[in-house]
Amino acid sequence: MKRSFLAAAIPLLLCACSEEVGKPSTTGQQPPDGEDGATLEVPVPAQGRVYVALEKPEIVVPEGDASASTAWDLAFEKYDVFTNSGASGSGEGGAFGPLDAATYADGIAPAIPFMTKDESGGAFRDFWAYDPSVHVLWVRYHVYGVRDGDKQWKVQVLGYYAEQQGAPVAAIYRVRWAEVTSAGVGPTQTLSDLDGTAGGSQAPEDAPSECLDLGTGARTKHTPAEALTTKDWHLCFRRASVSVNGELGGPRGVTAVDLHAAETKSETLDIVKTRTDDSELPRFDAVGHAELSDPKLVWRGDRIFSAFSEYWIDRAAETPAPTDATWLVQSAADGVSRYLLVFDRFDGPTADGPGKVVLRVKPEGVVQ
Amino acid sequence: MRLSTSAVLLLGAALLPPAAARAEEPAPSGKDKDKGAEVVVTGTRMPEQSQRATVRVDVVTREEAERRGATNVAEAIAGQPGVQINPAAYGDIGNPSAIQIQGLDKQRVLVLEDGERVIGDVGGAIDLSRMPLGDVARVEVVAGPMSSLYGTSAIGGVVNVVTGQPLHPGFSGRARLEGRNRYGVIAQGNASWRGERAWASLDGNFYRTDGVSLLEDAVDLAMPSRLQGMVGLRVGGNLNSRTRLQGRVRWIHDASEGRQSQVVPGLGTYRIDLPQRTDRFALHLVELVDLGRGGALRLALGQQWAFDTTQKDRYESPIDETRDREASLSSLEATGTFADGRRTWVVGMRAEVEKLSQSLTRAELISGSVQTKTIEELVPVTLGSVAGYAQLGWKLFDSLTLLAGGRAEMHLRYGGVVVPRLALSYQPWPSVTVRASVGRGFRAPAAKEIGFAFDHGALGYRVLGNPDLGPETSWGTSADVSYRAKNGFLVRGSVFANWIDGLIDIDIRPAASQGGIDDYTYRNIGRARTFGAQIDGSYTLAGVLRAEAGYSYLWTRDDENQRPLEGRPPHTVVTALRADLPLRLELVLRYRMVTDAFLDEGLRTPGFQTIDARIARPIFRGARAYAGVLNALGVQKDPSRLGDQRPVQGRTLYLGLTADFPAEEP
Repeated sequence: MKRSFLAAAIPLLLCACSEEVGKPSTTGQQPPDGEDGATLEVPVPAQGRVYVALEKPEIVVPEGDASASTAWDLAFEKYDVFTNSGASGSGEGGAFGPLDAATYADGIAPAIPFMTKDESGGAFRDFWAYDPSVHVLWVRYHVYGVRDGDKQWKVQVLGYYAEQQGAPVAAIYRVRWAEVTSAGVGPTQTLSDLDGTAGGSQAPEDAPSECLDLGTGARTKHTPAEALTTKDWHLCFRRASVSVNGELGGPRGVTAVDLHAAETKSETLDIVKTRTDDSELPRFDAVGHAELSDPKLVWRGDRIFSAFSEYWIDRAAETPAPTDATWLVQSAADGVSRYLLVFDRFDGPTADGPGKVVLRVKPEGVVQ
Repeated sequence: MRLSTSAVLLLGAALLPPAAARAEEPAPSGKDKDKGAEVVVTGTRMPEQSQRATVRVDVVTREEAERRGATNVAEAIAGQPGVQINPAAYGDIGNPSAIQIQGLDKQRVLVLEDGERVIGDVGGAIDLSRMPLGDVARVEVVAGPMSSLYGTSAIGGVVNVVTGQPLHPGFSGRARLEGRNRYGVIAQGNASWRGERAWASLDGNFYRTDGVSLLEDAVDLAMPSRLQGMVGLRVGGNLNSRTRLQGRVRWIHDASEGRQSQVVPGLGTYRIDLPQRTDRFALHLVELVDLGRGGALRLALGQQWAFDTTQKDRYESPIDETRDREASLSSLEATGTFADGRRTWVVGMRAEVEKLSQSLTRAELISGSVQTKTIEELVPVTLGSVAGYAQLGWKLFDSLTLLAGGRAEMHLRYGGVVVPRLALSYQPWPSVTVRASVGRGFRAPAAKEIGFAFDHGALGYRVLGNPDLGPETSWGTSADVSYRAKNGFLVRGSVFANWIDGLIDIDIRPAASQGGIDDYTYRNIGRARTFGAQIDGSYTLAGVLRAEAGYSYLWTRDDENQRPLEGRPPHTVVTALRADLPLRLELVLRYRMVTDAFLDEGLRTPGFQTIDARIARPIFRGARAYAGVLNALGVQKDPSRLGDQRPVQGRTLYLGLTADFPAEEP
């Protein structure tokens, strides 16, 4: 009988009987002593893009349409870095970061549930915080600068919902804005019924939504295609996004900046939920000509964002320099291989581009 | 390739084995004074005494269920060792009473009614609380992979709800009337007639209860109010000396009224009513042919329909949502049993066609006017399969029985699956039984996983079905030993292990991105393991005292995400005491302890303990009065505690009366 019980217990004795959470320790690929990955120098042209494949690593020239190629993992264009994923390419790439600089030396990235794919957006891309428990969006009450030629405004999104027929309806925007000049701040204007519903969630993708000219207060309705070709608006409100009429967003050359972008990462949902129109009015009032004239602000139209955007340039440096951080980049070709990457320096940076980017890369799992 | 329902059924009929076999049939319920003498059928598809069964089968009879204060199948088996039924763990999909066996749940546990698969899941789980006890004779639970006999979903185990037939000649009846706090009312009735060649039984069940709100003055209900009804008719008769027919038709109606509030940024709080209606119709016809020499043939035709409607009804607003789901299952099964000396063969064929659809009707404000649109979230899908299975029970020696079987199943959508199983039963002495088994299980992808479309494009994502999914597969092994002494002492110990591959889950990497919207889909990406052990025992003293105790240990691992499976308590203890007291009083005490369980990194649901008590006494001929309390300690979910999956219902008091006509002699 004792033997029977012992035999029955063997399967249990063979397994670890604790509720361990997390990855087992990764042995990884052991590199030769002193190996610190491969260094690649990437000359970024004044116009156009240069493409990099990380496996060797090397600079590559994709055949035909680069967005349809999986031969590259990263692309550099002026001060933008793109991955071969999402809105930038058809590859299985993507990136995650910035991670601590020491991560590169460790060789092992922390457990990461997903890679950031490239996506279109602009200064307003993070104007809301998502509450997954009840599927609603809370506006952050950030203040945005919007610039059109020699005119500029400060804009604050106050709300995303309005009550109609006894029910809350999403994508009905409330905003306040004021023109900012060197002479002072103009009168604050508000709107509480900007219709960004675009016909509701079941409507066709080309249903029109409302756009706003901040200078005249004129409101027009445009389909996405119309918005790309018309100049009668500064901001377009479409479902959960607000686009800017510049760069990829439209032809007017409008640029914008999130004046509180630095706070986004540290803003918890609980903090955002406490904010109201009244509590955030001082934040709006505090923005004047001096704040919009900060030379460190990066004014851009709508463009493509990657995990590198906003983070890979050290804004505090006197001359353009890369941030001392590590990124995890996924292979565009197989969607499985992952590389750790650091930027060492820029050689010959200008206002328009970094000159030559010097980077180091190695497969994840290789310990320095 | 798509085949019509009739085509698949005809194909299945054409493949029926020409030979006949001995039929399995539901065993009479009887009184469960001697658990070792219970007849079970689920483990091998052959009637066996539970103590000598080649495969361990746990049984809860209707009488035992009533002693537990149960009103439905979920409550009847919730206290079984090795079984977890915790509705609060599935709260986000409607509080279904889903069962966990060997650490596996939802579509990985097969639920049967008289051997026929039950349809109408809630988020992948069959809600056992929607199965009233009105016509139930007993519930059989088999742990471990049983796909070799039952096909899809039998990975963690099988729950078979078995109806009985009237034993008393002439007219007989049974009634139960009970009241509970929260305005709970239970009424069960049964009227039967049995002649020499035929019998019939009419069953009814009614249940209602108020909802449970965990916050004072809150709109939200943690558990909805509920109204449940069941009407069923069972008939049977002998066509001739060798052939019997049995039929069962049943309608179950389940309605609940949930309520929640929604805080909308900048606007305030809105009330949303959440009515839900489910109607399930089941038709089951069985022909049993006795071929002599221990051979029998069982032919079964099954048809089920399930209609489910859930609403999001905004209070005083026309902006509502209605989700309608329809499912049907048509099946034909032939099972033959051949006795050949020391060998017994079970050979069977099954063909089934399942149809599902789901639509969402949404009223929206468009340009100031309310417009209603209906979209198909699940395009009507038809799933068909044909299966053949065989099992050999070989009594190698008087003390050693070998059970070897396998099943080949062909699914029209994703090809074939073959699952073998091997089991041994050894009785070195009459009091000792040692059993071991190893086998494969599988779960075919659900229609939702194949064709679902959940459009949350406004928030930048959609979840889409994946028609290229394959079945989940598992290997499972178990062993148990039991010792039954003549003095009424029984002790059992068991261990098990399961390895599951190709678990279907939503891939968090987008399958595609277009226009700022990411598409996510289901893939066969997961791997998991479960291991466990259990020891339980009982002692019966002179028929007046019965004590039971059991301890279960469970270890699980989600190998894809490198963490335990969510909501699996590692340790569970159950004990029960039943005593016949003076003044003809019967006392039942039950205790259950469940330890805390992993939910997420840094988040565990707390453990809890419950105590149930019930006292009953005959008050006049054939009638018994009873009173009891469930969850006497009042353990209840704390709504302010993240991840708290303790019971939503608090303490429940009940008082009732049962009556049997004609009365049985005491």
